[in-house]
Amino acid sequence: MLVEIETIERAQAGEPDAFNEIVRAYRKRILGTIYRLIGRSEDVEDVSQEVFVRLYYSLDQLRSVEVFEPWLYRLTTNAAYDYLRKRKRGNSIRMADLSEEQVIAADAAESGRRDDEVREQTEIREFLDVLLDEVSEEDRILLTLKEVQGLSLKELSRIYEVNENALKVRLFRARKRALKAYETLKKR
Amino acid sequence: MAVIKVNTEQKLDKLFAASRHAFPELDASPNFLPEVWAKIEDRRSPGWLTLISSWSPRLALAAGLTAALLTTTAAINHQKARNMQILESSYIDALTVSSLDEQDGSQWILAGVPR
Repeated sequence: MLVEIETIERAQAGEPDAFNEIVRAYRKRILGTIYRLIGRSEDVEDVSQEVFVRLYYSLDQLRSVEVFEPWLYRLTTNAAYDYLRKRKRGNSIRMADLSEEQVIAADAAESGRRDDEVREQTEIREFLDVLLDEVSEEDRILLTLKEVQGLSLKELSRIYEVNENALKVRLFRARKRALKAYETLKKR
Repeated sequence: MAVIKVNTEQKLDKLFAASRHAFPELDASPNFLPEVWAKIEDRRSPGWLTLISSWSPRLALAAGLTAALLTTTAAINHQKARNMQILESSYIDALTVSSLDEQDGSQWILAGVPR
């Protein structure tokens, strides 16, 4: 853990300093996870702040301080899930409506002055976003945590509170749907 | 067909592997923490609402007791009023009511007798 158990307990008791310590310790990790989950850098900070607001208001519901991290991950995935659902509902121009070439061309135009490596990374992120927009939010989050964030099955089972076998089945199905989406995108 | 599928699977794996390094580390803005607190304060319910919600079980109990007390008082008053009405009725009133009852009864009996 990035903070002492005592700090979490003090935050639970309502000490603002302890809460600030938690935010400072975890904000970078949360920003990184949210970035991978939602794929758009412009909204990362806002969604991450939402995670900490939810943390503040639900700290008293945390039964055991030992499970703080998986619990924080759950808050993070829930905030990302809400954001993705909202985005899907209110999307004016969805990236998924564009072909892969259009996405790359748009991205290339945007990052005309960037060097090759940065441009390649941007292209990968954009294409991943297009691909994952084609599957459900649940599949997107699960695949991102496993394949992009690189969490182990054990870590995922603690976050999702299900056994590893059930997770393997979910992952297999999510991956199948992602493969189908990939093939469809390639055909466009 | 199977070859194409394997190929697609490999491409998907490659995309996932590449994407692990495609997200640069983001730093929080200097306003990150103050903005978190501003959002917390925005969502905090007003003081009087917090006070009411913390007192709500006691308020509910008090309201229940008051309602029971008012109902009992109303029932007692109603009974008293009826008793008073009977006591205050004049002999003539009582006689009129009694005669009307008798008349109604006779009519009712007569109505049942075949002519």
